[in-house]
Formats: sequence, C-alpha cells, structure tokens
Amino acid sequence: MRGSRFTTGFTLAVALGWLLGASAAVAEEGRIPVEVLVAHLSSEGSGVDPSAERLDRKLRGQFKYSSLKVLQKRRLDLAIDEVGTLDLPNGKAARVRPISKTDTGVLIAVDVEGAAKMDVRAKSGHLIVIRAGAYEGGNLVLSLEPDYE
Amino acid sequence: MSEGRDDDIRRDEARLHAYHDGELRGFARRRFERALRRSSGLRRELGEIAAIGDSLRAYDAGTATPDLWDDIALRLPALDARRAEGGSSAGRSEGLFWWLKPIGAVAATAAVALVVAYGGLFTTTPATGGAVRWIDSGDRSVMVLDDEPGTTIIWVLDGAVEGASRGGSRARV
Repeated sequence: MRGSRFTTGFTLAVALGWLLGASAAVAEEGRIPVEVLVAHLSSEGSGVDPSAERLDRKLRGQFKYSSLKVLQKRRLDLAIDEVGTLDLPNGKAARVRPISKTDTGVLIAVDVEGAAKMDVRAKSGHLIVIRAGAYEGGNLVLSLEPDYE
Repeated sequence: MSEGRDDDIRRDEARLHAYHDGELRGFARRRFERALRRSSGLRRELGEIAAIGDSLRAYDAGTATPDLWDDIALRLPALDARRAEGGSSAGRSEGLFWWLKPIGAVAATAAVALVVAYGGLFTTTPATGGAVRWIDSGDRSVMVLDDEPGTTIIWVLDGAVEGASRGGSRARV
C-alpha cells in the first residue's frame, strides 16, 4: 500500500516535471536568438579582430579598409514582437524586433537611428550587415545573424 | 422590356470598346461600322473613348511619375506578416462571420494558384527583394549587396548620392 502511494506520487511528480519542461520548451521555441556584432571599419590602423573573421570575409571583397575592430558582441534572445535595443558607440541606438518566423526565415524589423529603418527576412545563419554611419574616421557596421534551429 | 434594353446597351458598349481596341474582325467589324455610320450616339461615344485614351497617353508622356511599385512590393510581405499576427486577435471578434472563412480560403487558394501559374509561365525577370523587404533611409542613398548567398550588405550612405553604386573594384571606406 505504502509502495503503491510512493509509486503514484513519483509518477505524478515525473508527469508534472515533464509538463513543465514541455511548456518551457514551447516557450523557448518561440524565441529567436540573433547574434549581433558592432564593428568599426577604418582605413587607419591595421588588423582584423579574430572574432569578426566571417564579417571580414564578407566585407573584404566589397570594401577597402585596413582595420576591423569589434566594439560590441551580443546575443539577443527575442520573442516575436519583442524589441532588443543596442546602444551604439556613436550615441545612437539600434532596435531589432522579430515580426514573424516562417519556413522562409525570420522577418525582422531593424531600426538603426540616423541610418535607416528596414524589414529584412533572413534564414538562420544569414548574415545581415548594415552600415550604421560614420564613426571616428571610419564606419560603424552592425551585423545581425539569426541563429535558430 | 427595360432589361432587354439594358442588355442591348451593354452589348453596344462591349462592341464599342472592342472596336476601339481593334478586337473586332471580319464580318463583326463590318457590321459594327455600318451601325456606326447610322448612329450618331455611337460615333459620339467612340469619340469620347478615344479622347480618354489620348488624354491618358498625354498624361503618361508628360508627367514624371516615380515608379512606386518596388516600394509597394517590398512592403507587402511585412504588411502580410503583421496582418497574420493580428489574425489571432481578429479571430476573437469575428462573431457571426465564421462561415465566411471557407469562402476566403477558397479565394486565397485560387489567388495563390493564379500567382504560381502566371508567375511560373510569364516571369521574365528574377524575383527582386532578396533579404530586404522594405527600407526607409530618408534622403540617404542605400546600396544593397546580396550577390553572395547567405549575406546581405545594406550600405547606407551619409547623403543622397547620384547614381550610388559599388563603383570600381571596391568602394572606399
């Protein structure tokens, strides 16, 4: 009898745990992780920040610069319609808001103060690079990369 | 009686437009030209149609209207996405109109089928837009570079630049 009560209690606890875990997983599924990087490109100085090698590879063929420094690196974990804000070193802000997620990617609204507002659709791993304005003799660049399963 | 007259008028109008557009051929064309010679009303209407066409052509030729379609087309997916988001709250207030849903679904399916069919058969240019669905850069020029798969570079210039382009081998930073 005592064993039976223990078994029932244990089963209920496991079931409750499973339910809580499942609901947490559902909540996580709705979130969109976005890797954000703020970098400074300049024709003065030299060297490429090792943590921005991918960005450098993408930009090197398009633009001429001698130095690429990473100023900020963050991972935003946003729900649909949640706004993630970044304070840029030029005193402006950048806001990122996922609008929807479909098979064709995540539709993200991006507002870079002093530069542009836009809606971009990107699949996981797609790199979006936005020039955020002039900064200290070079250019401020913001890169966004949705990184979801 | 009146219905019969309405039908006649509608038929005449259809023939008038078809004649004006050069769509009447052979016997039908000769018969309509005979009717045209007999009826001053038909001649007047034909003249009006021609005048409207002329004034539209003159407006197009003389007015530098910006081509807004690209802006509209870029905005549509975002609007659709927002509408889809709003769908859940709209669903709560639909009340007695739930029965319209199947009609909407059929219409949507037909529209999608048409887009797929016509898009597949008649598209002559590659789809534009890429990752950027809509952009507002105020008076600044923007270069969007998405030649490389998996990457989109949105280069917002500091001001409006006439003929902004990548230029040369590489743009200078």
